[in-house]
Amino acid sequence: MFSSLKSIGKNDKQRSLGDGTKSFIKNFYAKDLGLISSKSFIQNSNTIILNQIKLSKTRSIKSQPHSITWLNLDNVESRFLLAAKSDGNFVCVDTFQNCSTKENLKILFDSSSSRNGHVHSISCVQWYPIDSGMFFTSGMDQKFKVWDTNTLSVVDEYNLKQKIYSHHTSMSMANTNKTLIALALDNGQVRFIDLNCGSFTHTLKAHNHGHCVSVQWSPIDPNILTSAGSDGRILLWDIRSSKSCLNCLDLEKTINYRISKAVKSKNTISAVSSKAVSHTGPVIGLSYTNDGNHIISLGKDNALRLWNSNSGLNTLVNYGKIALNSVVAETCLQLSCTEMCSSNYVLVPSGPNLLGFDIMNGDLKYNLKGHFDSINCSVYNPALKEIYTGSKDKNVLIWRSENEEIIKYKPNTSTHSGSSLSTLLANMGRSEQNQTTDSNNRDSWSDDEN
Amino acid sequence: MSDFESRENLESLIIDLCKSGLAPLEEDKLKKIKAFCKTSEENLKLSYEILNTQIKKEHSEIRYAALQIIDCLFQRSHSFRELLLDDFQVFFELVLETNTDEPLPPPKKAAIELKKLAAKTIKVWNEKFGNEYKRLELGFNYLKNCKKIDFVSFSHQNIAQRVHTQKQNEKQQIFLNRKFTEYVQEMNDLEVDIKNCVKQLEQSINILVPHENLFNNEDFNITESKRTPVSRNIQEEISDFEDSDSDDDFVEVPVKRSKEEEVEHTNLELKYLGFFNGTSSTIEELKNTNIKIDLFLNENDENKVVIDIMKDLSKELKNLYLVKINKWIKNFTQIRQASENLKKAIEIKNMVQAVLKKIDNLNIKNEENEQKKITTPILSLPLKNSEGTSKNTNQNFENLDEKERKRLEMLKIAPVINLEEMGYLNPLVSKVEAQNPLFQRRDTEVTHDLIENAHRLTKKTFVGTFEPVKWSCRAPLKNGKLCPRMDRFKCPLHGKIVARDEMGNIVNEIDRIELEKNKKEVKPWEDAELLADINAATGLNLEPSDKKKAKKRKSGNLTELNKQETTRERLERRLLDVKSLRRIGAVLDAIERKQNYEKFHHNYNYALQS
Repeated sequence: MFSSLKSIGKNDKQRSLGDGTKSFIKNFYAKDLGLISSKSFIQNSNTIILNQIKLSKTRSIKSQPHSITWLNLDNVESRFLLAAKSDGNFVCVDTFQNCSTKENLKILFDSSSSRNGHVHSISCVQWYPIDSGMFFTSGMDQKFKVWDTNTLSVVDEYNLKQKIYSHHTSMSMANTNKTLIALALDNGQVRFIDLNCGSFTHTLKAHNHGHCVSVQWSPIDPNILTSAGSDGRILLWDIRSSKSCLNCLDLEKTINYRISKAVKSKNTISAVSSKAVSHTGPVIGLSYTNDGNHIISLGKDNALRLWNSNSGLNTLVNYGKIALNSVVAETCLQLSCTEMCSSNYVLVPSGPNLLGFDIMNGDLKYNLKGHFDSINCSVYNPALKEIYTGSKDKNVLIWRSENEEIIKYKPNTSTHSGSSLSTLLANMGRSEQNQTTDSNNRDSWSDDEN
Repeated sequence: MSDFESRENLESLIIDLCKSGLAPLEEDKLKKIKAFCKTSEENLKLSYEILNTQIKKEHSEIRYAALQIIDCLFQRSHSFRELLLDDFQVFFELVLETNTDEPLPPPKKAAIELKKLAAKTIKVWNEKFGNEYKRLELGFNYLKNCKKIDFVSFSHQNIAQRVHTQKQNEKQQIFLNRKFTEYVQEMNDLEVDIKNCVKQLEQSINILVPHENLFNNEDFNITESKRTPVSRNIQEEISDFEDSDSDDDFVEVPVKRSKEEEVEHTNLELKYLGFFNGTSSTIEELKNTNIKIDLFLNENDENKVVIDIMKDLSKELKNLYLVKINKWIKNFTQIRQASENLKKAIEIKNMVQAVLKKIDNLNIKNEENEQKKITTPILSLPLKNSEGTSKNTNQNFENLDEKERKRLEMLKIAPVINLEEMGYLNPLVSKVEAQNPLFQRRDTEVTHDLIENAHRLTKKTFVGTFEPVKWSCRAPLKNGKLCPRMDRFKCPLHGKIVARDEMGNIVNEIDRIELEKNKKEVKPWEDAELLADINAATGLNLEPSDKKKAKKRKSGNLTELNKQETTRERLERRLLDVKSLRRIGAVLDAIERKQNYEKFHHNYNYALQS
């Protein structure tokens, strides 16, 4: 039984398969034989697919007239992609579409035709976590708008009198009745909007010496919020009390740091030292890992840091120096993490390239070169194993594994739940013209034969 | 080992090719490179590396050549394409100036060519390979949409410059349109005036010179009319005219008729009748006829009034109206809808110019004033000898001998000292001094005024006055103008400054001969003609080896970046170096010191430096 695993490559129709394909097929067999759990099967196949990620030739999104500032996939099935543009409009694309080569993914709706769009650039866009009937946009024109998807109209609008750099809705809205939206403002405050009552609830005076760049709710605890500011500090809050923050992620407080008992006794209420800094420059990117245990932050000091969200300590994982454009926009860059992989990666925009680091090790896994101007946002689609990046060069690029063999691979037994992945993959990206004309791909030294 | 050698070869090949400047690349070298890269992947990578360094050099011509080689390899090899597309962004910046912080290096002309070529090649690449290589297509779209590179007309200006020139053009158009309306108005207003002016002039011409219409055609004989048309018949028609001004007006050079000319007459007659068939004899005859008719209109008291009016009117026409008409025409040509106005303006201009030409043809001369005209510049410096009289050098210059001449020249430069004026003789004695017993004269002694007043002697310094430079070289230059350099004696390019006429030709024969003598002597082995003769005769090429050309071949066809010496730099090197500045400073200091001494040497409070 076990030996048959080794001879897989030879049996399979005598084709010469790539390594990735071989391990992919082995994975299938292992799952079928019960050697690995279904979870690890999923993780392995994801990892294999992600290893081969590159710029997609078959799928693409049409080039927009303005630079893309934020991308967001809906929470429910990771199907619809909203892209916010710098002229105050946005587009939505259905990523589950099949499209033939050379055709762009169809744009479902574009708010350019609507008169309700933002006047200035949209800084953040996000779907309503429960379903895709509603979404929120916040922009530099100091407005926060709530949109209805079907009619594409603004249902509610809040004027904040401050530029809004970011907002975030708690993903755990489904579990609790909480409908709070946190907004990161220009004067360093974090304001909350309650959707149920339609008004502001309270304000956190987060960053006094700069503007608040980003807010992120913890994916596991509905009351914990992280805010990052241009003063280089990342603060942890429990929103139930707005008096003082829980903790400031201090880059010097590392996991090797042991708080002595004496110090502990002194600082009872506010354990936050005002001199604590998370980054020696402004923070420009903030994200939780999908399990909620870690926080990843990117700062203008070219550093990417991983923090333990429970203790607030710097884990000192070394990602190397991230090259950033010296003129990075005031708004934050969108980091994203892959999920359901054996080792997850964090996708970091670095100038015109997208870097992918192993979260725990800090190894550089990808350096995806495709854009010509700085990337603003990146998002990972767990359903399709694709990465979308939006940049200042007005393109949204799709990155995926274009391994034809994996895509066309159909296992013999297709009734397992785990094989939904493969059927999905098989449906995706299959186009009528499977054989791309390789003629242009070949070398042509012919006119030298003189 | 051969691998290493081939690598070195490849490197030297590429570097050589990159030195060809803007000239097209040499085919055989290019083929060798292609052959190299074809053999192995390693070579291809190596050539990519080398080309990468070359295209980063700070000389646009090197980049231009490197781009051509890259184009060549790009079209042929898949792996080369992949390599280049990885660094595509950097490639843009180096070749198309997408990053304005890093402009293309000098020379300017090559930079413009580089941009154009880059845009064209990238367009071609996209058309050929855009389907296969996503990044190429993305790059092309990026350039087109974000950086607004012009892929249609391949202008070398970036978007900002294009917008700027467009705005300037618009401004200019607005300006022209405004002027257009003004000028149309002006033209309509002045048309009448101009026509009146022209009419008056024509009438005055008719007064001075009888019109052709007054003569009958039968009076003309074909042959004779060509020679002396007007004069013969004038005398016949005299009686018909009231104004008898025209009688004496024509003075002609008498035409001598000889037998040969009689024959020529008949020949000409026959020719006009069409019988001669253009043989050489006619041409020779015509060649031999060199009759000059010098007609001019004499201005005397009788027709002075008319001529004055004519002059005034023609001046008015020329200086005022013609200038305006030219402006109108210039404006109308630049505006598209102005064709009718343009025609009108051109008509008016033709009319005016015809009249002016007629006036010129009349050739009005005032015989009495002829001799007063000075045609050549005369070197006359103001002369003041010690007697205080000026001499007219014109008259007696040649008569004096050497010594006298020298004396006179010296006298010119010598200072004029007037003792009385300066106060040496009969000085005014002030009251105070008169009362002072020490100053009083003793009658017994006889003293000379000069000695008595020795205490009042002052040291007078004579620095001289600055003699302004009067003469300019006026030698004819290649662009048609005259050399404007001014100097007292000679021009650095054209030699001694001599009297020249308006066209720049030397007036005096003597000067011309002297100038020609002083021209540089051509050495026999450098004489191109002589060498050519020898070459033709013996087949030996005796030209000396061109050191300069050999040097040029070594560094390729690249234009020098550093050696762009301006005139200012050249002059600065001469004038502003330390030694000459010191010398000039010393001279100026001495002059100033002398002047100051003259004024303040007795001032004991503020002692001057000696």
